[in-house]
Amino acid sequence: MSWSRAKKRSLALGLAFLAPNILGFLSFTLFPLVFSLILAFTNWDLRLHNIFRQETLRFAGFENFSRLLTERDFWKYLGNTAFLMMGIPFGIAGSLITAILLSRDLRGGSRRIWVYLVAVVLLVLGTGALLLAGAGATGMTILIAGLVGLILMGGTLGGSTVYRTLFYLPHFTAGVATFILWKKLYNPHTGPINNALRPLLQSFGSVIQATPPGVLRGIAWACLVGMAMLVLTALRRLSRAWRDGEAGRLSVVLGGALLLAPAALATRWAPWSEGGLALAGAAGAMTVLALAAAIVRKREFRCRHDEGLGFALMFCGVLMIAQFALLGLSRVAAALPAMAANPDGMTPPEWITSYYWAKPAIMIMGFWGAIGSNNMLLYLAGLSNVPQDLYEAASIDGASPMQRFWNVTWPQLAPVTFFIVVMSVIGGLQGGFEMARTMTQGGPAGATTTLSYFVYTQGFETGRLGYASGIAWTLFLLVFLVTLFNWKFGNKYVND
Amino acid sequence: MRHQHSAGVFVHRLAGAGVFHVVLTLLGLALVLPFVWMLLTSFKPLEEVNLENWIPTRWLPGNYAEVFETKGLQFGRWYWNSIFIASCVTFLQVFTSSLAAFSFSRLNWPGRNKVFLLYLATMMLPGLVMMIPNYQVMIELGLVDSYVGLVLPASFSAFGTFLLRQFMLTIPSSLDEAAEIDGAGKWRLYWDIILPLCRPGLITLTIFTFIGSYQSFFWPLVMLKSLHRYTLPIGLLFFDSSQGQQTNLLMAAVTMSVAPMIVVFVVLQKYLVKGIQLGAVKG
Amino acid sequence: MKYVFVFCALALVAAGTLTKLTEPDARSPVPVVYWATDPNPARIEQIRLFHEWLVKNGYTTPEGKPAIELRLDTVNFDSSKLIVQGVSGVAADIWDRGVPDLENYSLLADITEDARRLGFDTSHTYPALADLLSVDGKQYGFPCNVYVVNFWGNADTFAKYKMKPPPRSWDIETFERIGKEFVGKANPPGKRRTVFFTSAANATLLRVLARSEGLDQFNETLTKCTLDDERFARSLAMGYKWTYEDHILPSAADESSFATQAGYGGTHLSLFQQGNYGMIAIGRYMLIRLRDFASPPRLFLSHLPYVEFENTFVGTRAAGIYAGSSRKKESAWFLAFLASKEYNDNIVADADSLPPDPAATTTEAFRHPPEHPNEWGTHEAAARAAQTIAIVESRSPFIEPSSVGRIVNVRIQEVMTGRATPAQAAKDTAERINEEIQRTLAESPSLRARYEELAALQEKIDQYRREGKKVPLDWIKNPFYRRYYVHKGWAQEN
Repeated sequence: MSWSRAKKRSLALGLAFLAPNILGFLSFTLFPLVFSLILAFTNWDLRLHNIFRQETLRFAGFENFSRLLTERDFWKYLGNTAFLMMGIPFGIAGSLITAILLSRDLRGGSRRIWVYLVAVVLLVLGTGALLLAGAGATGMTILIAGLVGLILMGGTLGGSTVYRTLFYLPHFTAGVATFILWKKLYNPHTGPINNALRPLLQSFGSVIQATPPGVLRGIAWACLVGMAMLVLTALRRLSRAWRDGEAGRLSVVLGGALLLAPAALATRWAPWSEGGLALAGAAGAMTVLALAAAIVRKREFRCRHDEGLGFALMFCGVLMIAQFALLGLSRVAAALPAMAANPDGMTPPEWITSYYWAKPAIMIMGFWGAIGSNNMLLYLAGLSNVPQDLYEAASIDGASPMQRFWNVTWPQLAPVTFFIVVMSVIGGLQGGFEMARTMTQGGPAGATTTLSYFVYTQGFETGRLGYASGIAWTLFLLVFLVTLFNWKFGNKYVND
Repeated sequence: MRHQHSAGVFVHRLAGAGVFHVVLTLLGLALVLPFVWMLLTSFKPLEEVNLENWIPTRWLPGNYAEVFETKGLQFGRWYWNSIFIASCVTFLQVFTSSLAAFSFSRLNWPGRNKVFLLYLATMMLPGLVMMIPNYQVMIELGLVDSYVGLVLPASFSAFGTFLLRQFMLTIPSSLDEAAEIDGAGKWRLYWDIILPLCRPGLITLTIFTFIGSYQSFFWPLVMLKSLHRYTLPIGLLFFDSSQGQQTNLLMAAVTMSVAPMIVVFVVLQKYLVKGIQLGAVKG
Repeated sequence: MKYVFVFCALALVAAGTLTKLTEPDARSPVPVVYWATDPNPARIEQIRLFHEWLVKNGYTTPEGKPAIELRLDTVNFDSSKLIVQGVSGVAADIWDRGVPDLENYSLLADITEDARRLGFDTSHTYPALADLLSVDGKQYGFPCNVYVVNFWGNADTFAKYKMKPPPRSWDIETFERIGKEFVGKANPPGKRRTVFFTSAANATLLRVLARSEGLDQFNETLTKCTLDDERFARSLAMGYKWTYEDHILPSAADESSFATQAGYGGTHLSLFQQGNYGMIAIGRYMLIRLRDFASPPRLFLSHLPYVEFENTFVGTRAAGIYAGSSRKKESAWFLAFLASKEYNDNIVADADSLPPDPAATTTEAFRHPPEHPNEWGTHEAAARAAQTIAIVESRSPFIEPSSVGRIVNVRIQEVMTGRATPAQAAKDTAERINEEIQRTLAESPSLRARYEELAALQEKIDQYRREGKKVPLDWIKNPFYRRYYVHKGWAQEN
């Protein structure tokens, strides 16, 4: 291998420029990576292998991994992580809607601005005057009015930039500081959230008590029927894809499993088992019928097993989350009469100190940060790249705004959405550490312990570095699988 | 007639835009309310923090000074540490990344693309995997609980290299040839021509890195032992767990630690938005 | 752009120098010894006394200054953090957390020799603490102080609701009755409850309750967790009932809703002083901060309630020397100081729990501190409890106490949040602790032999008990059962 002088020179030059960076890269990225992989197969424990004590360090094979898979808490924490990830679609939808709102040109002629300005200035001045006069009891109303005025004024003057800045702030500042802030907001007795909810719930409670229980039970059942409808629609869509040769066996089976998961879990969660059973029975019966029909018609898979997997999983995944939402709603509706009958009236949830509310509380906080996140900015960029003539063509065809969205905007944004979903899923799998450490210590009773927090407690609180590396690599494996899956099947969906 | 028509359109447009403004304003209000509560609470006397009224009856700007004087905390020192460490990390990272990006984008050497691919591949790995061995390395080097131990591992990033490389690729290569004809070496090309031209990229990376480092939590949490070396996130955590019932002071501290980020963002958001939309994601 | 770079580099170098120079512990003319301890204001006075003591005992520099400087490290006093630091080689020289746990990791220096030479061997303190200071005949620590958990009550709060202070010693029925009366009188109906009998149900209270029925967390030989027992389930159920049905104890939500100034000793003390809690279960050290309040309340002392066998926890904040310390010799002087009269008198005056030397609790200065008449009557009661009903917490050599604590606490949370029934939680606690014990044995095979030996002994004890024979006392390793067996007349004393 004889390289010319020039080639050697260029190599030397290239490496010289690269040197400072690559040295750091090798010592703080590549080396740790290899080292941790080795660590994951040993019984390295800080408490047993240190400068004062040397128990034999041994190669443990897959011991760490097999222990992890048999550890009962691992599955619970994996479940917690998955539960929290169900907030992702809501966050993405929020970002998309916000981006669409922002993409409108909100700045107009000078006359319009003046109209707003005068109104806003009056609002702000009035608020200020009242504040100075020491209006205490109505202070909150004035505060809100003043804020609305300020934002509106900013928005009219500065256009979408001002709104964008506001929306992006929660995401930008997210960190220990804002987690501590939310911990205070969520305080069950004295936090502002429950202070605001309490009077609302009190009056709501009397409304509930005045409603005949049948109505609420009806609502609860309606939600369940809604779930069944979703399953039915999805199954029909799946079977159509199957018939058209767009979905393979694996896709249909996995998609179906996702669809039926809520019903299956409902039998465990639902407070009234007959409801859950009925539900699971109905869903099961539908599937069996669908399968039977397919068999009777001698339908065959006309494509590879994994054809259309990306579509099937995404579609069924979103519907699964919608089902969970309906399920939750139905449970709340069913529990309402009992809650309203409480002698203290209806009380707001105890958020992060309650086992059942801790995860939803974290998801709400996540939603707050996710609406105006990078995703919104990416969508904004994506929207500005949609060719205008597509909209014009749609308008000529007489498409309604809704149709324009589904037929033009949504497909055009598919690559952006795909990128966002991949990044969010990766982030979601690894997430939750900061918030668990800051707000809940993983509690109550482990309700908010995610996998990343589990790694932290095992590695840095109990010193089992080998085991912790094993968990971290298992987590990596999950991330890797998701990414691989996305690239393999997602790309196709995007290119459709 | 014409006048009437235009007035009608005006009113119609006004109403249309008005709906959007109202929706956006309400959304903005909902997102900003937590911050408003934080700010107002930080001015309250302690006995009012639990009241339903958000507005203090007695305004106490002195709460802010009190945070610095509270016994058991070293808030001023933490503030300084955070900014100092973040600055060091940012400087080193921007500098080394720009060198590497230059090498990846303007120099042609054998094996370049393979090395770059390796860089890209590691961006996908969860940082968590690297933490444990890095901690072990820090133990061996005796850098646990030191500023160097905080700054060094964070100073080299594949992401920064990637971002700057994308920027440098947009600079036309004819410049290089012109410089070469003028007899300028590669260093001159980098130092005098490419660096000034990718200013927006450098600024974007600076913001990302600074904010990322200012916010970083896991690594300082594991590494820091001494109270006077704490950074703000760790300090806030300590504040919350030791004296967190003093909600007004805690909120003053939170406000102060969020404030620099808000300022940075509002002033430099143009660069940030551009950077993110280039396909980069805050990391 | 390049000037910006150069300017930034220079500015950062300057800032770095400034940062380095302003480090608080930049330099000291004499060697510095670090003491990892809790952020208690009393430590400052104790350090001053120590420096004086050094001079008095001739540990000086040629100029007559103290030969070493003792400094506090109050951030890293949590024992799990100390372990990780200790094994990393960067830690304070003197630690006063959990001597036996740290010895498990070989992190403490053997001080038997120094103790004999400088006069701080275990004969200078309470015999009951021996388990916590020595392992296999080697001494690893000496107490900074000794604490006993009792209810310290606010007599003024009780008077406000026209109630007499409760009796010194009470069974659970009495406790519950008085508690209900108290919260009933203190909280106006229909409003959020802000006054509670005492702070939230915690592991200490619930384990003391189980012990009062004769059940400890470990068996007689410390080889197995025995909490899978209806007696522990009963105490869990009791905690739940007191919190959610009788409302005599606050729930987690109630607790997080108080707004108060906090400082050393946590928020409980402020809440106690303000009258939100009628009593708190704590050691005598809480008096330090209580004395800081403008008008400390009149105090009374009651034991923890019991079912059948009255008992409570005693413990010690024992100081040990880090095995990796480069100043072991100098650190030993500090331990000698802990056994001195100066230090004991300081603890008596300062009320930083009980002094290491029991003799110091018999003085008039201890019993009736002239400036604090509101405390009279409680001091000797606390000292007596330490000598009568107090038993140290049992620790198994096969599991870290912090793991036990974590497992027990999560199960208590599960019961308190309605996630698990008391019986399930009790079963789960024992299962998890026993799994953890097996895991430790698998990880450290060197422990196996001792475990087998003890397990065989346990079988013998069980057999003796079945046959109704008296068990030789030295078979029993669990300090609780040593006392309980004697109480029940099951032990054969020798």
